[in-house]
Amino acid sequence: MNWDQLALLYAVATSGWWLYMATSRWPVARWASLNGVARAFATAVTFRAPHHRVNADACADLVRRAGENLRLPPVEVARLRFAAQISDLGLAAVPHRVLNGQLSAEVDAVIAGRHPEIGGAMLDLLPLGGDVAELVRCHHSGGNSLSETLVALAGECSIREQVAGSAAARDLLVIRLVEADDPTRVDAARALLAASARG
Amino acid sequence: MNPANFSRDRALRGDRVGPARKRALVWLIAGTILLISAARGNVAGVALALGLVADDLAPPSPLGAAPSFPIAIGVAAASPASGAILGAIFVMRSWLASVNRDYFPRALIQSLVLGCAFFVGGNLLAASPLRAGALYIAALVAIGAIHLLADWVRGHQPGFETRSRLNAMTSEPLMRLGIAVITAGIVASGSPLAILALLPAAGYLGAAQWTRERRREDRAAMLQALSGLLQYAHPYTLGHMQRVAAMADRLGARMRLGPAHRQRLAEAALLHDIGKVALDEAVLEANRPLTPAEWEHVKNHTTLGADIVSAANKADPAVPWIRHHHERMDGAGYPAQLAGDQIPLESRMIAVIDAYDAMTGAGYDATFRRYQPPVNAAEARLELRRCAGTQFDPQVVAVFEAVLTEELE
Repeated sequence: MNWDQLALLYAVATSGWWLYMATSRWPVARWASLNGVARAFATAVTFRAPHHRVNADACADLVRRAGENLRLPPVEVARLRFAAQISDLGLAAVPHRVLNGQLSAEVDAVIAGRHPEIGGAMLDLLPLGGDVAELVRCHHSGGNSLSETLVALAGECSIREQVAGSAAARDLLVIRLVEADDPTRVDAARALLAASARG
Repeated sequence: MNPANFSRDRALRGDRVGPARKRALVWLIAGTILLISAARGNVAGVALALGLVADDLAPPSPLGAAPSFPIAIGVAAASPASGAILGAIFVMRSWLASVNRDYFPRALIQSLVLGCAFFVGGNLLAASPLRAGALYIAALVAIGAIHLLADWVRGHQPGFETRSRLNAMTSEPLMRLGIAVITAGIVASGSPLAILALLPAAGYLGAAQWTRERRREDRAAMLQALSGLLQYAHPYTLGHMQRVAAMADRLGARMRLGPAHRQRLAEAALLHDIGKVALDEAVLEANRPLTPAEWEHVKNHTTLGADIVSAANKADPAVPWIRHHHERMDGAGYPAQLAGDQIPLESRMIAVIDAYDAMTGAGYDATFRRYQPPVNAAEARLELRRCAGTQFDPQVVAVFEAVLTEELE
């Protein structure tokens, strides 16, 4: 092989590598590079609302594993993981006395309950935030898409694990599985079960 | 001040030629070299023109990280006579592509040294493409040594400056080595059209650099948002953290911190009070002096802030800077009662700026801190001077006053 042929081979190889990185690795890396900051967000919220403690890392990891189980694209898995980790940032806008159990009026409970909406509004202001704002808005109510359902289910599972242990969380998912008549939700619940079992 | 724009702002302030004219000049020179070289069948010239264009399209980068660098290595390894021309081209490239004024003398020295080394080395080595790889590695080591020496001469902490540059220079190592070796082989074989085979690789290096830049900008935007989180919890902090960050950058420049160090300091200043997100706003907004229990509650914010930043990256140098930004020189501060030089310099800097901004109360809601009304700038400076040596580092206070004086002029 002479140098011209080697150069041509090199050109083909680098073109292929470039295509692979641009379509797969770089988009995933963009979300993954923010995992540390997302963890900082989650820590800040946990410090503010210790009684509302959700293990954001565990929830995010659950979402990641479930997404892999569902064979979602890697960039979607990375996006869901980020959204799960940052989902409770709206709690920063809820008054401290409300978060720490001093509800003085019904309106306080309403404010606390609106934290997903507040978090979504915060994220709408950020460059990448718009990509996950809807997921954050739906993280307690669930949504229409598989991604929204997954984040909501994982969040609920994580809360229940914190409160009542893994068995209760799995019971919940079994119930969801039985009740669901939407194949998408059944698949999401199954993936969560599989991810929980492996964990 | 947006840390994400730091490099770009500095680049714009340090540029000697406007961006549009710079681009026009680069493309004019590259085009001329390309035409003449292609007409003469000179592969080395074609490769160099390609390198210049690749550099211009990619974000600004240190010399060793530029897409043109491995191409130049390959050319020098295969064509010794091009070494001298290469040196001249890199001198011009340094002038055109200097990221900031601080960097330009260093880039110039690197270019001159490398140009001479290429000429000498190219003549000493046999024209072997495989030795282009060795020359590339040796050149990186030489550039790294020049950076270390320059940082030492300027008193910068080499851990910040050289590490960030070396990371850029050694990213995508196989791709860069491959470019150097392939270029040398093509130049030695003398086939001008084959040099076009380097286009995908050079393009990849530029694209990789763009994605890294975008990730840096995303991270900076998220850090801004993290500081903004505090403002949702405690609206009175509006603007305070941004002002402290902007002033920290200016103070850092005056204290001759390197660009990467200043950027990190500004990020730490932006987040220095993030721990207050955990505090009860009823305590923080109290219209009276705090009780001992409440004061203990508030003092926690330094440790909480450090823990929040540490959650993102345990090895982040900003963690101790945030943790200790309320220490005092006389050891009567919190949380660790550090004294004097035990307190990180960056914490001492943030302490001075934080106190000044709190005293002047610029932008604060007038109803906040009613029991301690804001003072004017002159009184705040007097207070800083009065507390220099006990609460604040006197050297930092002196430099900070110089910065304030400059701003007034």
